[in-house]
Amino acid sequence: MTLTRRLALRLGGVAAALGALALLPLWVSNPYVLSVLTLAALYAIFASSWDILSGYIGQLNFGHAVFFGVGAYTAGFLGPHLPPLLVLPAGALAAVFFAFLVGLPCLKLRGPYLSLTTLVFPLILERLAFTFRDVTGGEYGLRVEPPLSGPGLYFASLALLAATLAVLLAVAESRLGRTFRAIGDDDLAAMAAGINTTRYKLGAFVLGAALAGLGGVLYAYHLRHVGPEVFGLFTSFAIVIMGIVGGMGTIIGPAIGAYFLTLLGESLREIETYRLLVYSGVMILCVLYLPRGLWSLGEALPALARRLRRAPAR
Amino acid sequence: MSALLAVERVTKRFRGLTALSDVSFEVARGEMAVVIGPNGAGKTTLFNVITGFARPEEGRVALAGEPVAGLAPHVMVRRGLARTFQIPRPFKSLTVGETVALARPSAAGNVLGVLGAPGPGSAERVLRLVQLWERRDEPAGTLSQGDLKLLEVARALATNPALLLLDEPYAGLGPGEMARLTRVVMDLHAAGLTLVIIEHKLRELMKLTRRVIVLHYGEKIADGTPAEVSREPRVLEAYMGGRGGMASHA
Repeated sequence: MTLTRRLALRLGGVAAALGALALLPLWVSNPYVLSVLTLAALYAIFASSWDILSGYIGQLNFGHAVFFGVGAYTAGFLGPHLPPLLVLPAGALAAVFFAFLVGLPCLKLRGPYLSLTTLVFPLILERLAFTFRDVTGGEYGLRVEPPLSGPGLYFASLALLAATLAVLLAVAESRLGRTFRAIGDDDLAAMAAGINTTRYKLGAFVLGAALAGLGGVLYAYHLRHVGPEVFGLFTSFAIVIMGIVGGMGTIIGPAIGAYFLTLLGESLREIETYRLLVYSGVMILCVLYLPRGLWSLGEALPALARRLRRAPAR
Repeated sequence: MSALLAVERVTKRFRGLTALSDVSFEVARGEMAVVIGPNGAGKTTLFNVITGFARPEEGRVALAGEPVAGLAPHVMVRRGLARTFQIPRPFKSLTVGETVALARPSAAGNVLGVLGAPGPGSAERVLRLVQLWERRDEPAGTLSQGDLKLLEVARALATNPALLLLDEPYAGLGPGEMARLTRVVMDLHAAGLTLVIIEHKLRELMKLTRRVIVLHYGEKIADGTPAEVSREPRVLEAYMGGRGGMASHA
C-alpha cells in the first residue's frame, strides 16, 4: 500500500475537516448541539463503512443496520459485564460474525438479488429482538450505561470516524480497492481475470461490518439505550440515502452525506414524522441534478479554482 | 497426454434448446485451433462450458489431463485457462495499465515466461505486445472498440495462461487493428501458447491455422485442415444457406 498523491490529499482533507470538528466544543457548549454532532459522526461511520461494498463493488446493501445494530446490542448485553475497551472489539466481532452469516449465503447471488436479500436480514433481527424479549428487552430494548458522554463521547466518535475513513481510504486506493472496483465494473470480467469475486465481496462485507460494529457500540452509548428500532426500515434506508446523496464509491462522500442529512433532519425536527420523506426528496434531487452526489461538488471546486486563477492572468 | 485441452461428448441445454450436442475434440499443446460456424452454432456456449462460465449437462472437459468441468471461472484461470469476451468487458473505472496489473497470473502458463519472467514488468511486456503501453494511463472505458478488443487479449495474457481462448477477436476491428491482432496471435503461437479462436470470418486466420473445427446447430460437423474442412459436404451444406456459402467466410 503506497501513499499516492491522491490518497495523501484525501487523508489531509479528512484530517483538516475532523480537526475543525474536534475544535467545535471550544465554542459550542450547548449539549443538544454536541449530541447532534455526535450522531452525525456516528452516521458518517455507518455510511462510509457501507460504501466499501455498496459503492465500490456496486452491491447495494440495504441491510447495513444489521451490523451497527448488532454492535449496539453487544453494548447492551456486555456493557454491564465487560470493561468498555473490550466492548468495542466485541461489537466489531459480533458484527463480523453476522457478516459471515449473511454474506456466505447472499454473496453468491449477483446483481439485484443480493440487494433484495440484504433487505430481509435487519427485519429478521428486528423480529428476533421482539421474540426473545427475556434477553433483548423486547420493544423496550436495553438500557445502556455509557462510560463516556458529552464531549468525551463526541471525541471518541470523531476518533473512530477518523480511523474508519483512514482505513477505508487506504483500502480504496490500494490494489484491493481496485479489485473491488473491477468487480463492481464487471464481475464476469473480473472472474475471467482470475479474481475470486465471492471472496472479495465477502471481504468488503466483513470490513464494512467490523467498522459499523464499532460505531454501533458508540451509537448505543449515545442513545443510552438499544431497541429493535435500530433494525427498522428507516435506519437501513437512511444509510443508503446518505451514501447516494454524498456520492457512492468515494468513502468521504457518504460521510459528508451523513453529516448533511443528519443536520438537515435535526433542523427540521418539528416535522420529525416526515424525515424519511425529506431524505427521499433530497435523494431524488441528487439523483436528478447531482448524480455523483455532494462529493462531485468538491471535485468541481479545484477546476473552478484553476479557472479563477487563470482568468486574471489574461 | 499430449492433449492440453480435451472436450469429451459435451452436451449443454438451455431449457428445451440443445446448444451443444455431444461435442468432442482435443487440442494439443502448442496448437492453434479455429472454431467456426454460423450464428447460433454454439461457439460461445462451447467457450462458456470450457471456461467454467456454464456447466455442461453431460460430458467432460479436461485441461492437461485433469477434469475441470464445473469449476468456477477464476479457478480455471488459476489452472492456466484464459478467455476473452466477444463484446469487450472493460473495467471502466480502471486505467489500461491497472486493468492488466489486476489480472491474477497463474502458475500453470508459459506466456509471461516467454515474454520475460512473470513479475512487476510483465504488465508492461503484455501491453507492449498489444501496442497499448503508450495508453496505459488512460481510463479503459475511453478506448476505441479495436483497442478494447486488444485490451481483452492483454488482460487474458496477464493471467499467464497455458491455453488462451479468443471469442471472435476480429469482430468489429478495422483493417489496421486486424493486422495488429494477427501479429499478436502469430507471436503468441510462435511462442508456444495454445490457442483456440472462435471466428465468424475465417479469411484472417485461414493463412495462420492448420486446424479448423466447424460447429453447426450445436454439433461438430467437421474437424481438420482448412482445405479438408472446406471440402466437407456437410460444411458446404451448412454454409449454403448463407450468402455465397463458404467462400465468403474463407
